[in-house]
Amino acid sequence: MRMAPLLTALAPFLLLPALLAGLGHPAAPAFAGYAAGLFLLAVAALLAIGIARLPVFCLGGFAAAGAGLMPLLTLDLEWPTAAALAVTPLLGAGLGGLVRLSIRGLDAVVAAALLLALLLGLASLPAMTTEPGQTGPALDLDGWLLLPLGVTAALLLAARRFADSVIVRLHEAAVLARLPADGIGLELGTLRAVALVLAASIATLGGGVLALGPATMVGIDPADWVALSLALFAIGRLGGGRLGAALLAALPLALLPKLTVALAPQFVDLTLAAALVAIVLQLLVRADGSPAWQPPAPTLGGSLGQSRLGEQRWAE
Amino acid sequence: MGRMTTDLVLDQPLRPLMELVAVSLVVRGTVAIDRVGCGFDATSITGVIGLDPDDNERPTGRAALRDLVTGHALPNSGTLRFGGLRIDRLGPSARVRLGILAMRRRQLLTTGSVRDMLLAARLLVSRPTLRLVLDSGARSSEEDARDIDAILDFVEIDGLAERPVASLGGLEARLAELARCLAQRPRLLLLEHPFARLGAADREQLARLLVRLRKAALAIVVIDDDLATLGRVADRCLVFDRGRLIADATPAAIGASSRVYRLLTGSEL
Repeated sequence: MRMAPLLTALAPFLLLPALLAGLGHPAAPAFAGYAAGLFLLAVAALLAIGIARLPVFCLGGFAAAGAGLMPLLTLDLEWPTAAALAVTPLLGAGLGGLVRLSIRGLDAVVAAALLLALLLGLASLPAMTTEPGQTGPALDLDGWLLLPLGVTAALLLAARRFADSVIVRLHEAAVLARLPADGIGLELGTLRAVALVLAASIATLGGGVLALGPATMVGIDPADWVALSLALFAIGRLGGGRLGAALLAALPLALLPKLTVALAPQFVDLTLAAALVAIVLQLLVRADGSPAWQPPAPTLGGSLGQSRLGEQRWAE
Repeated sequence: MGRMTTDLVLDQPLRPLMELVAVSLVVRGTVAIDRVGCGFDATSITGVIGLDPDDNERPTGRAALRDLVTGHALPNSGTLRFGGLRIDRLGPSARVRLGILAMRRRQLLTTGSVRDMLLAARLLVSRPTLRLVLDSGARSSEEDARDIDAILDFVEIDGLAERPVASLGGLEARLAELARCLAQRPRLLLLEHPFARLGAADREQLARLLVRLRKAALAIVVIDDDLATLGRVADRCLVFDRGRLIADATPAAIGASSRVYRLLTGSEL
């Protein structure tokens, strides 16, 4: 993983909250939480969509599940906020595993429809556990804080090991060369299962972070999470397997809505607008960063790329 | 004890390493393979040729056969066995781990050096996938590295070991791809058009290499249109026409069959 582009892409996520805090803006803590949540969601999109190339439209649903779980644990069960945040990835891991099992072997269109239905179901969870106008649970700066920090660090470390693994690098090379990766022994099922479970865990954690207070909890409306899912899909595609690119693609979400949500509660509309911008960008720019209106760069991939009988013309 | 072993061997009919029994495959409503039965023996080279291979409207069935062997297509009926094990429903990556490797017309991965590619290919078949997925620091063992050096030497591309794969062309690229297959411990090696667009000297070098590989107890299947080279290296040839296997015999027998010769060449014997 090259660090310079990554740090460049990460800078806005670090500098903007610092800038707001430096200016003494009251929305600074909320924005810091939002930036951290968005960073986690971009990582999740990178894993599931950018690297594993899964048609996962429901990452926003996983985030919604995390956001919906937080008030349930902290308000109803009176858990410490940090402990609640630390267990959200478990829900994500379970959901990710179930999703992987349920879409395994399904036709892409059927899988996408199933995931869309799951997204709609999960997106309504925050509305079921949170009252409109309710403030999110605040994260206290005490010993419990180490728990979610440790879980986050472990998940990000696992994500990094996954992204840098031999099998992912070979998969990426095969995709770029338009070769069927399984023809050289890449077991795509395992790769996709790990990617989905990791992505769902991180997305659920990201959703939990988005639900943190002390500001009014945002994203109670299911439409928010559906829009976020679409945006994450575009972010994953734009990222093309590079975290730096995924973070840059997530910048519109970071810059447009939350900077202004501190000034005006237009979050929903702006999120939708940002999602649409991202989708249009996705149509205009390929995953490798080249413009869609130019011919694709030549690859040196061989005839393995034509090997699937159902996808090739009858040429021998 | 020795007698028992002998009896067991005698009781078992000799079976090819890979066996297709009444296999059919339908693709988009077209019968691509029609009740084909054939086998590929270890320590043998089987040539696969087709009538009218340039006629895209009338596929010979060789691409379908290739995909049935590699697992990129699963049969609609019939059975496939490999080493006595039914593999009808096994996918491509599982078949690679069993030792069914395919070398296609052009080169494979385009990142890193030839040695890097071979080491990575070896890792894919020598480590559990989950470990490879979660371990960014997975490295080849010294034994693997020695094996790769031996393979580079065997294929006579040890001088290309540090060359970027992307810089290779022609015979070099094919030999590197063949070395990749060998790095993955093949038991059956399917080569698709290995002789296409090669000069006479390069074809000869590749043919000699295949003959040496046959001695290493590999079942080698060669799909190609170069009848002259196939005739020299293959132990037997399968002739396909629109998904049907119309001949399965030695090259000499096929050459002597006036009907097949006429169908293949368009001229009388």
